[in-house]
Amino acid sequence: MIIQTHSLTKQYKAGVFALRDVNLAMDEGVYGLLGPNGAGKTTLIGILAGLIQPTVGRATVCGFDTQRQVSEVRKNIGIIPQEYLLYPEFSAYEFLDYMALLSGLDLSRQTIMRLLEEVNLASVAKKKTKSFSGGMKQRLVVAQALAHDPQVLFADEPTSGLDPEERVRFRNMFSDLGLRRTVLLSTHITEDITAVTNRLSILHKGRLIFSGNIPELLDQCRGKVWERTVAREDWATFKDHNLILSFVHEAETHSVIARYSPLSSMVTEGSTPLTPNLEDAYMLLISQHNSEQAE
Amino acid sequence: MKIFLRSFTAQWKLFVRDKVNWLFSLLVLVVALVTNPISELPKTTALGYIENIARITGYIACLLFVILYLRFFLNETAKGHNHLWSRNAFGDDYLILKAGVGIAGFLTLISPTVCLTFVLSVAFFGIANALSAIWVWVIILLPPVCFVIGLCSLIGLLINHGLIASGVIVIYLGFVLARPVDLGNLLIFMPSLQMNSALIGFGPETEMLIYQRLFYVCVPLFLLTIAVFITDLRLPRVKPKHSWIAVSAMAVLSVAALSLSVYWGSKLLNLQRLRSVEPNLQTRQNLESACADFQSYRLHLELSADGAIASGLAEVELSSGRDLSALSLLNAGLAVDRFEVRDGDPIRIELQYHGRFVVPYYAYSVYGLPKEIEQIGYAPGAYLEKNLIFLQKLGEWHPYTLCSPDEITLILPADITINYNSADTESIDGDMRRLQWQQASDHILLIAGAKYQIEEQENDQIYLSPNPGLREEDRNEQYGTFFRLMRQHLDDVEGSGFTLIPLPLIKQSFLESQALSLIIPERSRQIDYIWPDDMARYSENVAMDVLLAWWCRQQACPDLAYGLFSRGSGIDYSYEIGEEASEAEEEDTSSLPLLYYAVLKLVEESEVSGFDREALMDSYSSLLRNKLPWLYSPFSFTPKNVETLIMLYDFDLQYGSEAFWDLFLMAYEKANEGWIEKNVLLELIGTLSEQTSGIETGP
Repeated sequence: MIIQTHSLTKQYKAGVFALRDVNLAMDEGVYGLLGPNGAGKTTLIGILAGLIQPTVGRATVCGFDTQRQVSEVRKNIGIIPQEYLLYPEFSAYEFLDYMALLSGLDLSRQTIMRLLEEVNLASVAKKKTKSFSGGMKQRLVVAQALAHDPQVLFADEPTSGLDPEERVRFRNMFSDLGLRRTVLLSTHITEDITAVTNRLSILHKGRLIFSGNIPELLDQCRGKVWERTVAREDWATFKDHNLILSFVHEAETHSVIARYSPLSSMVTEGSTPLTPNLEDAYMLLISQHNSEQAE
Repeated sequence: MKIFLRSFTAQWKLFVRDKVNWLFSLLVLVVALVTNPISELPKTTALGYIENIARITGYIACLLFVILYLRFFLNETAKGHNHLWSRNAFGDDYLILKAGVGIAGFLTLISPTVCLTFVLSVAFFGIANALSAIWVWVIILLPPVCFVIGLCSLIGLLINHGLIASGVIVIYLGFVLARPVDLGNLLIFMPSLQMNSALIGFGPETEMLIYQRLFYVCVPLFLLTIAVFITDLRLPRVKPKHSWIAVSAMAVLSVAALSLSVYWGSKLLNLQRLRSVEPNLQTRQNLESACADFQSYRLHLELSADGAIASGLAEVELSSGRDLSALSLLNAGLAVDRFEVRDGDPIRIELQYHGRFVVPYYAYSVYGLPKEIEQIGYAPGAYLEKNLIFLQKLGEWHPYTLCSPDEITLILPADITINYNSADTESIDGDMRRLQWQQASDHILLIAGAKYQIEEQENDQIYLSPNPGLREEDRNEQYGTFFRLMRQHLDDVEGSGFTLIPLPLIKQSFLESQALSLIIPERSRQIDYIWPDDMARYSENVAMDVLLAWWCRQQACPDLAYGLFSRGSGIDYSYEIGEEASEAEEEDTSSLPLLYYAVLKLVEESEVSGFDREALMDSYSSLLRNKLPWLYSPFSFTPKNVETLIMLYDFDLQYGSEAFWDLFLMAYEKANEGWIEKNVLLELIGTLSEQTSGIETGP
């Protein structure tokens, strides 16, 4: 396995658990890591990158222990962070050159230009990064992660804030990158994951609540997702008895078309069964987990 | 190393490309130009000019650079920059790299100021002087900048919030900089004003300055090593396993930096303690009367190559049973090894001592001192360091300071250049020189300075102190000119030439008539001050020194000198006579306007630019007419003295220069310990007026 974690737990001083007993195993290819904000995704990446020390458990990347062999781990990973500093006074070329240098590499001009071509930034190689658009900056961040040709790539919310066109471009890029690497794509946007991988882990409140294939997850939800048109005056009551996955107000008929999952075993009359998608499955799983915790 | 250097270059580029940083650079340049206008350059020296700019830059740097550096230092420590911290070379070298770039960045930002001032220095003072002033930048600026960087690194890591950390440090630095100047205060990381005499290459502050600067090189180093340890705890990364060699080296460096900080700090404090001793006026008074009981007083002294007293022995024979144990005024830096009393007739006392002679601060301070201390003159009577040895007969280099020794034997390394000595016998034995005085009558025993430059001027010699901080032409103009003019008008010694010796410490000039040596205070200490008032004022100071030496001859006249050179202002050399002099008015201080007017005449004759005697006298007349308070007077004379001054001026206008100098000579004859009463002066004026015009004039 390229990435492996064993009972990984991170507890902060205030007693808050960022991660709790997380066991993961990942091989080559793209893996999705899904979870709401604060689920522990960034902490998990931090531990795998040797930036954060776990309270309990251990993790290995490419066979190297993330705590005891940090230097080796760092040689094998690239990070696309959620927040980044591109050094606005540097050009794209200078930035990549410096990033490679920090990884111990003195890249040739051709290599840097090839990297920029890969992310479609070769034409602006000499422009300062402060003049870049959000998408261009994000592409440069990908390029820096690839500068030292790492075996493992951690992408933490890489598509947030991108326009649809850039988002599609990024999804394709990750699909390509996963051909010969391990890519851990952390996000809370389910479409990003379905577009690039079948393999998924879901973190919620620091716990790994699912790890496996997306079809497997969808199978678990089959028969639990329905659609029904609800009169507007009944909408409040309906919401109380069902988990609403999405809904649309119909102005002409004064009704609401709801995609839902019943909280009891009883399905409201007039409902139509639907094929669950990843978002439905994710919402159901989170809801189920919350209920279990509440009990 | 290659990666470190390239990373260094990359970070340096980031620093210098930040436009906000160049606002700092511009501010430094503007402040340097505004506070040191080019029009003032002809009045100063390369050292004085650079020192002043470096100081201003230093103060600005200490406060503003904190904000710039912390912004730069904490740039990458914000949450979420994992793409940087997950790279090995980034986290491992972060602190050292940032500190190094901080220094390099600072130097880059001040480079426009340095270059411009260098060009101006070359234009005004010549390339050699401009180059010699470069080290002033290093001495003044580098330690505080290192300190600021060390402090910012540590506080920045602990607080990890640029704005709050900046606030904390700026408040701290502001507090320290605003404190009253105290040489030994270890919080003061900018050299204090008084320390600047050290910058001209010699002087009592040199040692203090060296300790202070070394302390402020070691302290930042220690702060940085502590910051390295904190880095592992605070920066966003899991520390890689450090090799035991690296950990040991860092631990050793940290301990060494701390030990050296303590070492230099304690040396500084110790020296400060020795320097801040006050003269024991009571013992001085008691000793004066005890000297009469001395049947003989012999001194045997051996100096080492660095000016320390390797061994000193004082032998006294006393006619009566007076107890001398509490009457020693030995310098604070000298330790008594043995004090032995052998009873008999006469009683024999032996006192053996050794140590480094430390000139007390009161002896050379230009800051306000009590009148009774000012008036004891240069009580230490000695200055002993490697390149400058100065011994007066009466001084704290021997225990019974005020008693005139009957015999002095001085042994010192033969390679020390002797500029002047009044010894009766001199011999060289191997690599040591032996000087012996029997009943030394001269006040000055020895002046030796390896770096003294000697200038011949006709028959006269001028010993210039090493690197005096004066421009070449000023030396001749300021020292030589007044010296020659004075001799032209007043010289009562025929024949051979004089020797003029400027010394850095003595407070008042001195004429050693037997050796024909004129010893005057080294005025290059003007470097201590922001600007000399102007060249005319500076010339007046030097002329006053020369004239005072002649007037007082071998007898010290500290009262008069005190009246003429009030040390109260602490801002610049001036003749301002403060309240103390007003009190002395009752005792008749007519010598002051007489000497002052003579000085004005000498300065006028020397054709110093910007000097206008008539305009000056008009302003005094106007003061008198309009009854303005004395504080409006250029030199703050009391109304009675202004009256005398105007009277002398009128006399000069009416009867001519020759008559004035005759009056001056006659007044000298009538003076008592330098002072002359006004009615005597009026009498002389009356007599001379009669003789010159043949008409009887009333007083």
